[in-house]
Amino acid sequence: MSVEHAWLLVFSVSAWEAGLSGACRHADIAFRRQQKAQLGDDTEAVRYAQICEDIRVLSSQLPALHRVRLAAASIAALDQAGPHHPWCLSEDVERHPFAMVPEARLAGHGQVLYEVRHPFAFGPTPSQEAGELREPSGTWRPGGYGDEVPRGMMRSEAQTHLWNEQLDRAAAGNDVPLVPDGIVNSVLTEGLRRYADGEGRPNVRARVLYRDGSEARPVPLGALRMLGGLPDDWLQLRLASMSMRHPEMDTDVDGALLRNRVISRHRPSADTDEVAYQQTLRRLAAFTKHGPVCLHIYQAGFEPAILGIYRAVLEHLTHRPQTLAVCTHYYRGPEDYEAGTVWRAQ
Amino acid sequence: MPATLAQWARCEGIALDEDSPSITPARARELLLAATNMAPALRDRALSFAAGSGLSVERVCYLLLSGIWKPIELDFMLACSPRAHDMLLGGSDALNRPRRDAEEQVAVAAAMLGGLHQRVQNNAADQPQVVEDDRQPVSWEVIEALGAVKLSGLCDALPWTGRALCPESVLVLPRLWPDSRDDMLTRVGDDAAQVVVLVPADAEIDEPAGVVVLRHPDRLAALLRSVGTRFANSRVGRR
Repeated sequence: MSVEHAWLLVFSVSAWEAGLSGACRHADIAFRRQQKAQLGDDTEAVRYAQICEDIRVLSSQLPALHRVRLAAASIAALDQAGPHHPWCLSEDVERHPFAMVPEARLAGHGQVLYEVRHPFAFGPTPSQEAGELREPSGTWRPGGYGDEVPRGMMRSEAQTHLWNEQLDRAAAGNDVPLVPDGIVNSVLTEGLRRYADGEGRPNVRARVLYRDGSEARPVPLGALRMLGGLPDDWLQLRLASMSMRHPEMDTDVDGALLRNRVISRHRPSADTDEVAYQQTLRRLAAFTKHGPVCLHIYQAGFEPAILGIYRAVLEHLTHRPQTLAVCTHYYRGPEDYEAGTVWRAQ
Repeated sequence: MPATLAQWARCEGIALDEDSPSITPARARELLLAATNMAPALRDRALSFAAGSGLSVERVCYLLLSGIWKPIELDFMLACSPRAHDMLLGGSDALNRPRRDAEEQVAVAAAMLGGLHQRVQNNAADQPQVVEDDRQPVSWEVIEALGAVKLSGLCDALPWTGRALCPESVLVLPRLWPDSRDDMLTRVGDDAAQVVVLVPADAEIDEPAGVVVLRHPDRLAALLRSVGTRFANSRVGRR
């Protein structure tokens, strides 16, 4: 393959600021906005990239005082440096990743360093390390069937087996992640509820891995002593888990816990899980601010949202156990819901 | 086991247990590779890349089957960039600008190549659209050390240039920022194929001697947006 070269250019501050100060300022604004943006929102990142391309064009019209090629070790160090602009005033080098590269020392006082990369430089092709193809996954079969393929097993039954086996292994302390994708939401929720109870189980934090490869926060299993029964004298609140997912539920609920517009975005599932978790945590705190609440969740089946919601429920119950009880309602038909197990802690 | 699936698997030389109600992951991998239908050179490169990088074969197949990357684009990225692994997973942090910039340059170059390959295969710009598969089989070969692709089997005039050129093959150097001092432009002069530099519509470039400039219809900003979308799709795709 072609070789990637990186160059460090040095310009005078006066020339740089005369031609590029405005663009750099706008780039910095986009950079800071992107750092505060919600997970999955890359609007400002796109704007930042376009401004940086404009800066590259403008800088190519300036006379460079010095030009030095970065060593491979310097390129690798800058790659690992995290978010940073490709330019820096020489006075600010110590606060910039350029401080890690020896080539930056050629810049004097009152100068600007600027890095450019050329991925198509002609050079000896570096050969990739030889290796073995990752093995295909092993064949999973529900427990109790041995090598026999269970014929006639319904999909929901197979999912129940799969999810429970994952929870079982995680609760036993095996470093095997939970993979919630494709599991029916009632199976998902009831399984979590069962293993959230610490009766006869150790307290573990189970990894959560989604099919797109993204990993979310761990879910605590066995951390609480769960109770049954819904208190009648607590404030009763009925919410759909997500708005605009099942409008047929609208007449049965007081509102929605999460907004579909915020949750259903094009981003890795773990990011969606995190957004659902953070928003649910805030809302539970707000609901229970003035007294205990019995929350009835009328549930839609979006796995990252479910994991995020119930992770937040578990965390709230861990810190404030006597303020919240949650009852899940699974949609079975018009005005027909199946009640799930109550989430309430001692 | 659906009969049509079993029949197709037999045609591809994949033995399925037709009495079984399931397909094992190992067989699924074979079927996916067969369904992806990569050219032999791309297939070898993809498998070698998967073995060396730790990325799953299924991931590479998914990127092609879902249309995130075209075969020529994927072949180019795998051959010409040491950052292919990060790019196929959706690119690095957009705020680590130098690293992301290196990835975007390769990805935009690949995207321009994909557009050119599609264009020379169809080559019906001035004609009414005909609903028939009258694509010309234009083959490609990636020249790794040059960061270039040789297209062979061209039948019509080269698009996106003001010149009337009808070469049978071209050596295409896709670049965002061609440098007139680029060594490659002098080194490729020995090749019998016509050398062309493929750039975005708004690239400022002086046409080097002996080299034709093809201007992609899209400006750099549009190409960057397209690449950004592909990176985003790669991030949420199945691993």
